Amino acid sequence: MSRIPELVLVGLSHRTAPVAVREQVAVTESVLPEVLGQIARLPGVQEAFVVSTCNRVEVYATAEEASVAGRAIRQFLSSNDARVDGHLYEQHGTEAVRHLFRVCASLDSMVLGEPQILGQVKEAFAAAESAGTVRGLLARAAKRAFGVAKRVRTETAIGRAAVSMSFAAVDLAKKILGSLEGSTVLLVGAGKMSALAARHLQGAGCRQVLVVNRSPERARALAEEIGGTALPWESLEQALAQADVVVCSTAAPHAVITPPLAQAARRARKHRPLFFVDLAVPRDVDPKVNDLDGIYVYDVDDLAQVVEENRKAREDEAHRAEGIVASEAEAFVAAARSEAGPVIRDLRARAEASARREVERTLSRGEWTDAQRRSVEAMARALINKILHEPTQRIRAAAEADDGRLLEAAMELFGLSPAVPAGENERKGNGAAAEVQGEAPRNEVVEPVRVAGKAAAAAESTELT
Amino acid sequence: MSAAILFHIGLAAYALAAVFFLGYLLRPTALAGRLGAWTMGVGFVAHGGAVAVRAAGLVADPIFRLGEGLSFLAFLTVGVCLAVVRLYRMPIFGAFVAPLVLAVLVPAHAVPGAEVPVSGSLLDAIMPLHIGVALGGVALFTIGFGVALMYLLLERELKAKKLGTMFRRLPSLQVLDNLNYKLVVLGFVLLSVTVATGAIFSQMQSGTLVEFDAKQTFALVAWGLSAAVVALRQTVGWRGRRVAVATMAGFVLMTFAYAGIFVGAPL
Repeated sequence: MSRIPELVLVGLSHRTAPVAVREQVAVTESVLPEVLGQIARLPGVQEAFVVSTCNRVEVYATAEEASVAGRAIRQFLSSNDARVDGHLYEQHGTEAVRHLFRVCASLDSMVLGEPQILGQVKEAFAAAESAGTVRGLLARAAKRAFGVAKRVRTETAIGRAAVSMSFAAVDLAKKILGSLEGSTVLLVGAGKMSALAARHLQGAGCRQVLVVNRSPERARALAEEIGGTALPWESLEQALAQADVVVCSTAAPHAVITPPLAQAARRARKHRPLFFVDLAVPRDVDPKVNDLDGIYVYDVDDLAQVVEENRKAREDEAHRAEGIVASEAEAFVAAARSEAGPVIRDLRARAEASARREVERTLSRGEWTDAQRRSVEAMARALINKILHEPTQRIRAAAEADDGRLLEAAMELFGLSPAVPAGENERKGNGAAAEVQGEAPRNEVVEPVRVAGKAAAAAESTELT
Repeated sequence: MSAAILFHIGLAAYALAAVFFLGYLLRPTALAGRLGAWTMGVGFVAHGGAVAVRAAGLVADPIFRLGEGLSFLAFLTVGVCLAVVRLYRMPIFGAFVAPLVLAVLVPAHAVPGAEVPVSGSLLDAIMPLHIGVALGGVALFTIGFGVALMYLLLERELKAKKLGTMFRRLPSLQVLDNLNYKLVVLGFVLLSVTVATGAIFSQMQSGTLVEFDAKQTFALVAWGLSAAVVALRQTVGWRGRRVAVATMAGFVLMTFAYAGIFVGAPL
């Protein structure tokens, strides 16, 4: 029999550990189920899920004794390399809940407000669900975290300005060229980065993709991969006349796009604006090309700077998001603590059910007048109320004081189940109450006692009145 | 209702519209944009009433005053601005034009200014056309000035790679450039009509087609400039920054040409 569990978090992230450390504890997808199993078997751990991305490795768990489980998880994570321990952070209770909410709302991400992390946590949670290592409190916390993340995204502008290079490039292209519908992209060089940028531009409406590369095979391969057209290296100038956005990523040691070439292209394209995204280092586009009217050149540093400024704008929004997360985390923990409510309801429902059975058994034997019947029912009801009055108050006080031991003892003593989702309990409790209610005479009902949680108060009053 | 009351209602509504539009520039909300466009529309109707009342009175009082001309000019400008805000769904545009209109109207109203008698029975028929078309041209260049300014501000941010307010608030360079070009083409047409009718007057009054006074000189330079912009766009493909700068220069020239009407006229 367990006491009310508490959330535990042990992990490390880009804030506390360099990549050399993060990669040591990273959990790949293939071994995740096995690792989940191992963590779930650690001393004190009840439930667990593991979030492992390139920026963080975090173990969320629930435990009876947070410190015991925390220590076990720490040891587990640093079992291969003792130095890992120095980079780990550990949080319990409200702090751990808040951290989970912050991570999902992308407030703890390296790129503030980036949307991928939510999907990654959802995947991590799904993996734990199928491994059977999440059930109760942790599952509810995770689902609430997903809800909070959605709320933050809709109520703040934290995810609005582009903070990845590819998205920043798309934003810039739209600001320069207007709509990208039907526009043409030219990839100079067949690197991975330019393929990624091309995909983003295609997503924004670019129709035609041209690929120019020194090695024609690679140009063809990339063109095939993204549904474009490969052109020979010699046709670069003509291709520049057609394109609206040019993404450069060659390994050339010096500039490929020189001012005379750009000028010639500008003439050929009748001064229609042209946007160069230069992802190559050393740069493919001579910086002087940016001085030409109607031609805009952004290199990796420029894009990084745009991203940085957008990030600052997101930070302002993050303040509002932090407020949302903090209040949600407190509300969640308060709701979890009011699990005294379910305990009391269970206790009462059980007592009332036995009383009803006993009353029925008694009344089925022999002749009873209606008045007598009512008296017997009233007596049974009064007995329950009198007997349960003191324990009910003690349990509530224990919950308010966050004293898990007494709740645990009560559950143990009365043989109640722990941490059942509040909704189920409410339905059960109300049902039982409604059955008894019809028989109970009004004047025998004791006053409802003060209740910790609002939900508990509501359920309580329907039970007794 | 008298022209003065209608004019004051219009002025107050424009001022309110300017506040809403500038508010929109700082923090773009749909409400601020709608309120701006709506109050500007109210101002436009009231102002239009004032203009109509004065136009009707022109028969009895055939004097063309600097202030009145500016008022009519502002009226046309607001009309074009409302069309742009509506057709292009660009409330931000109001933030650039509403203050400009106020800057023209308030001094025009405070100082009635120089007067030029509208005379010559032969010219009576074409004169309203000449004045109306000329002011329409100035109005287009006024709007063009606003659009060109927006273009240059955004272009500067993009070139300098310091993306700020303009990047977040303004439409794309392409949209601004297209709008700017359309205004120049339309301005060029109106300016052509103005110059042609003006030449007829000049011929009738003094016997020469062009006198090269301040008004005619500036108007001719502006006409040549817009002709060049249109021609270069069609042939070489000039656009963007150069067109924006030319539009702003055109606005300045047209202002001088307009002021030229009153040079030497009695105050």
